[in-house]
Amino acid sequence: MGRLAGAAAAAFVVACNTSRLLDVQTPNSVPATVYTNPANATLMVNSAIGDFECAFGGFVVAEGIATDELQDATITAANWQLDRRDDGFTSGSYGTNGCTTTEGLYTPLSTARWEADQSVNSLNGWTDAQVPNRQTLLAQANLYAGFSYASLGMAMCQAAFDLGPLIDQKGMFALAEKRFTDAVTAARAAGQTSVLNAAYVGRARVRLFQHNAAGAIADAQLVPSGFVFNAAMDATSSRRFNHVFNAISTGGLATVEPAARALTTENGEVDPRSGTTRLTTKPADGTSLEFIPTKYNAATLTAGEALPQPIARYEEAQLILAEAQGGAAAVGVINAMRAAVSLKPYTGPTDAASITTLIVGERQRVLFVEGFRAFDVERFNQPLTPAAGTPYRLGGVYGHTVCLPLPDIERANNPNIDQAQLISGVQGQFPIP
Amino acid sequence: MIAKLSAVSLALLLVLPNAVRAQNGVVEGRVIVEGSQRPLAGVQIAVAGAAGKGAVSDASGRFRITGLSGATVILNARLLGYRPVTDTVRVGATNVRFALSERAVELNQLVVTGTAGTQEKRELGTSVASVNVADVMATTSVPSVESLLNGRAPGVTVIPTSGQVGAGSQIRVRGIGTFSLSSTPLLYVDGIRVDNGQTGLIARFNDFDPEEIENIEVLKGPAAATLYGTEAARGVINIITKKGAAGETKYTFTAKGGTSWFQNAAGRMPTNYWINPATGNLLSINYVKSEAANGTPLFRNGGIANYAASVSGGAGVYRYFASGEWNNAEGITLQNARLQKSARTNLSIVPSSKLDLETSVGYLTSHTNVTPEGSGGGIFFTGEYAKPQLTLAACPTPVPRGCGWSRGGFTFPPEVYNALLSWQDVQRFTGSVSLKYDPFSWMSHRLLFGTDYTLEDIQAYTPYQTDSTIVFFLGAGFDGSRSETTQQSTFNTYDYSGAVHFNVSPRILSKSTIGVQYYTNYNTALSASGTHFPTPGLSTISATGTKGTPTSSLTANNTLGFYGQQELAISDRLFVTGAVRVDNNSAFGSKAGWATYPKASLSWVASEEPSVRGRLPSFIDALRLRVAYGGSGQQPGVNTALRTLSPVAGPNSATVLSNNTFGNPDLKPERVLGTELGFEAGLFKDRIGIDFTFYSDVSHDAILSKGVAPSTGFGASTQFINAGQINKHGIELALKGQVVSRRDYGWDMQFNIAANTSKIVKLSGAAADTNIDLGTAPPLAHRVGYSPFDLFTFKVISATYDPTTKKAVNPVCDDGKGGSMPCFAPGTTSVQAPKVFFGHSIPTTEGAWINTFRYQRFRLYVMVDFQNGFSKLDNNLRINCQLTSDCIYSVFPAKYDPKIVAVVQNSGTLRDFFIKPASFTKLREVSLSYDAPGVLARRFGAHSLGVTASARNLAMITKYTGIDPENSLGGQNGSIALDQSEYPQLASFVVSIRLSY
Repeated sequence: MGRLAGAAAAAFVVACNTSRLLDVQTPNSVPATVYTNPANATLMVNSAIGDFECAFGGFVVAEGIATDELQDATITAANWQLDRRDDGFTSGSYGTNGCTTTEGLYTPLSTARWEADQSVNSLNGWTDAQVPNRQTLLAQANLYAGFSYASLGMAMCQAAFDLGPLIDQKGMFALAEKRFTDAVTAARAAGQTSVLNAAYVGRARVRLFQHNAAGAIADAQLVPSGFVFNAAMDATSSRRFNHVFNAISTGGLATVEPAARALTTENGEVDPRSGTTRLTTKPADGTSLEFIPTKYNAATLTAGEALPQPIARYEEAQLILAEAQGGAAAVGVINAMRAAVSLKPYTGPTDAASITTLIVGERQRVLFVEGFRAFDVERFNQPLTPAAGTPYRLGGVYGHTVCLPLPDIERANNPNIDQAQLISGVQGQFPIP
Repeated sequence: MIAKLSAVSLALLLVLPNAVRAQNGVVEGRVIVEGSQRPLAGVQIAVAGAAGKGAVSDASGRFRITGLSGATVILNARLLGYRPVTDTVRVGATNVRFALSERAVELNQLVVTGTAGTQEKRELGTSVASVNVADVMATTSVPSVESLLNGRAPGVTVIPTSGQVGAGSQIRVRGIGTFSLSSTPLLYVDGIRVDNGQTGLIARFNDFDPEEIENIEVLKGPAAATLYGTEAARGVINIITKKGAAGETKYTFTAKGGTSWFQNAAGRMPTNYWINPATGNLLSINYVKSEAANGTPLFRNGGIANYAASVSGGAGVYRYFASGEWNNAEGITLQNARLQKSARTNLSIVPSSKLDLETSVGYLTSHTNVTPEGSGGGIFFTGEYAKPQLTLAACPTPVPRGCGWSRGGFTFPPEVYNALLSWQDVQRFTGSVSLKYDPFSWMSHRLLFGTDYTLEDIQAYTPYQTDSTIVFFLGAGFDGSRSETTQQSTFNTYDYSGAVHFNVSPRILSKSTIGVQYYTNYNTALSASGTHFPTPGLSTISATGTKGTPTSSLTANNTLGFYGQQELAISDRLFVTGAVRVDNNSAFGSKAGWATYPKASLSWVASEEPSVRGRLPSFIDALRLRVAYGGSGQQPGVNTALRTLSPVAGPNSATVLSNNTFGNPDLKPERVLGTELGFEAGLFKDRIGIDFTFYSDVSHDAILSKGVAPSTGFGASTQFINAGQINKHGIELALKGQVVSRRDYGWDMQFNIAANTSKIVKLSGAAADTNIDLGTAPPLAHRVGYSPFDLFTFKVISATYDPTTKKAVNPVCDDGKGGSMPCFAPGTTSVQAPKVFFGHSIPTTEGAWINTFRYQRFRLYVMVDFQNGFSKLDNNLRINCQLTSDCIYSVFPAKYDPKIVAVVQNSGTLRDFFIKPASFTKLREVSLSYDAPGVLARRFGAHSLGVTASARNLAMITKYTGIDPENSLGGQNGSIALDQSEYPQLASFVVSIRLSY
């Protein structure tokens, strides 16, 4: 018996393949080493799209809270910094939250950007023989990479990519333009009209942001009437929900800012494009009134969570045209859009300042809670609402932040960040991009 | 002749019984404890020079030895924990009496150390804390394993989370020695590794019924736990369940009944204030008082009922122990209760002197109703943050619908929470088989395998509501919901060890041990949920209208380890041991190899060394010196070394992948090397015992969960890196003594104290990294030169109160250099001052003073424990002040120090006022026991009858102003310092009756 036990032990020690004994299943996830190959090209691009759509939903909500569109309605003090526009805050949830958590912005957009860029890089290294529909996939990957860079540029004062150095907003828009241009090329080759039009809108947007009016006009004019390119939300998963509906109606985590619940034109008409609806539910803080943009409201949770969120659309292209052309041309564009919703036309002066005011107001209402307002406030150097110094309803006072500073998570873990070049995002403390 | 014969016959008849008895060799007697005179069971009485002859005393202390010859015999009476007694007795004597005195230091005690079988304490170079559970349970009523450890094992800190029934604690052995890994010690039951985790508030530690436990031993520090390998750096807790003993079949029945309550609830729950801006009237609310006045008391007294029975015995080749327990406990709200049923069967078969087969099988089922409270709302939550403006008194006229319906409750009135049901059902099987085979007197083998399987079913269910108040508050969710998560956890242990021992010389005994352990851990989880029942009366997820996405997961982790140990025992008083352990684990990075842990120790029983014995003062009866050096480790989490992507919902109903873990192929286990030295001494005829240990541990490659720069694309994950070094050192002192020992009365005392300090020497790998803020609600940070998880925040030292604005302005902060500076940068609310040290998050000193006073058949047991040197964030006060602005400092700012007001009015940045020193001393246990005389016990047909009245948590001394310095929001290290909306440790009173047959 003793010999038997000893022999058994020895056999166990000597004969068993120890690496096999340590092998375990990982059926919940895919090792990155087996993911990147031509057979997975479609999966890679779809994954990038999925990440972007989720990140985009979070971006719209976070940017809405950061500006005068939405109000945080949680009892989570960490969230209030964004709503309060705290000066110099870099530890907020905008930096670390995921795309399904309120205020998640920098991390999910960075993930989407990385996935899209990785898809682009991989597809550029593969051949048409290896990857059927390679041009279509390239167009899609470049398009979503472009919107990722553009969204980051609109929200963040500075960002970094692939552990690289700081890139400012102009730099991000330039990167976005490059991706949109590549998307245009690939979409043309593949005959992907929708992707092509979305790329035109995206490129027009970032060209406008880079003060390339001619380029913006050229692209915006190519966008057909009625075009809309959506993040196609559905009710299958929190990642796929319409984030605005989910945050307000389902979660009670946000509500429309009191000042934005009935936006009007200069004529005093309530603009239906920025209409809001009072809900009967109470938000999480138990005290705010619950308002939701009417365009994101629905009768049932399932229907609301499946409402699409526009990423790029004809109306934006028209507003880009108006802004880039200015003067009477701008008024013409805007009045045509107003007529479509039975609003009185603009009849005021057409000097540059008046047109800028018109454009800013029109963008605020037409693109209401679509992710544009915060950057418009920044680039047009608009007064902050409520004004900085106003007491915040849950303590503290409103700050001056107009773009989000690079969050601590990147500062602390990216060795190539030059700390001396960091900016705070406080209005007036850095040049308007 | 006949007369002579008759006379001889008569003489023979008179003499013969004694002669026959003498020739038959019978000795009878009784063993008692010196002083208390109580009978002592389990004493081995051996006949000197007659191997195999002897007896074991029974429950009444009686013994009988037969088959003796000669006129007298020398008997040795011996029991671990008592001084042996040798006496010469007349063969035939029937009234032999042995009085054994308790030993304060027992060097021959057997302890479990990871080798085959057990080792005597005298052989070890390390300290092993041991809790004799059977003794404790006979003296007082202790509800859980964690409560058994609290205060009774120096160096083991039990940190409760909540006073909810079923809630578990966090256990720390010798403080915190890691940045980001679990600090929970490994848990073994009868030699196999078992689940030591926690699901929600409920800790798996407490699945084991104290009534079925004989002993708990704690191996502290790397030197003691080396043979347990790469996961044992936080210590090892061995639970040894009761076994049967040869002799009569013994039956025990225990019944307990009692109650628990929230002591001084109205005084400890806050009173909140509000000035009605419309009227200028001041309103206040204390939700305990207001609900009592409303006839709907917020809290109740929770009932306690417990019934346990066991049978044990054995004869010939077998021994057995079987037990069962039914335990029902109610919390202080309707939302909290627990029903647990458990059973255990331990069998031992010894078919020959070479073979020993033991089985240990335990099974339990429990149902625990819990409430999320601090992390999700509950009755305590709504009362803690009650708002005067939500009372009817604050409503305008006419009263709008819903106004005042919460009666001031922060969120819902209690009846709404009572409609939200959440519970955890558990079934757990823990079974092992141990085969010991000693083919020769110099060789032994042990093969042990077993499994610990836990099935947890975690459910939340809100039925379709029809009550108008509940419907109002639940809003869109009035029509109900249900979610269910089923988790299965399986731990398998395969353990072989073999040992040979032989005499190198007449004085030197060599013991060589080798072993191999293979542990597998396999966890699965399956979740489903649904909302919106179409009508009342439906309850399943299938009956909901909107189904959540079901999820499932599987994780697995395996450990393989080998060890070898060589011990030399010189004259059974000097022990030199060397060992090495080699481990690998599924979670190690692909570039990390096998981890090797060394061990060396020396133990010297100096008092048995003739050359020393003569030089020791006469009052020192026993003295052992010990020193040990060794290592063990802590593995990283499952799959943390891998870079992975996870399936998620994607466009067009497709499943796509999203970046998941960043991974680290270089990841190695934490490697902790430690040195400890100490001594045990028995003084004054072994009536006073001292056990002292000094230890010093160094955690190399301490693993830090580090954020990942989002620009990598993996910002949503964290990366485990071998970042730093943490040094720990401390002392442990246990004093034990019989202060008074008389026949009718006595006083036994035990005093334990342990202190530890830890210091981060290196952090995050980069030389420039000296501080990592953890971003937790209690402002915890890892900072070089301080302990892990210390509290750091801005310290406001002054401010100015502006009566016009009712604001505290111009706050001035500590500049960290002994001076001051404006807290905020000019014109902003950005803090420019540095964060300064505000205390440790876990106790640095803990201990207990335990006294047992005996008077005749009564025993009074009093345990006072204390924990010092730590602080807590009173987040309840912070919420009431900073978030809901209805604490007294918010409402009456002019009355208080402006520096407090400044903190209260700057919710986003300042919180130093809410960090409070949390040291406390608690009257933890008081019990009065009565051992009934035999005549009374026999009325119940029993051998013995005991009655105990026990009370817990009756009094506390602390400067902490929150609900309870022992409260925390659960979880691991990051949440310990957070006191937020949890039930305090409840006071309780329990009467128990114990019958033995």
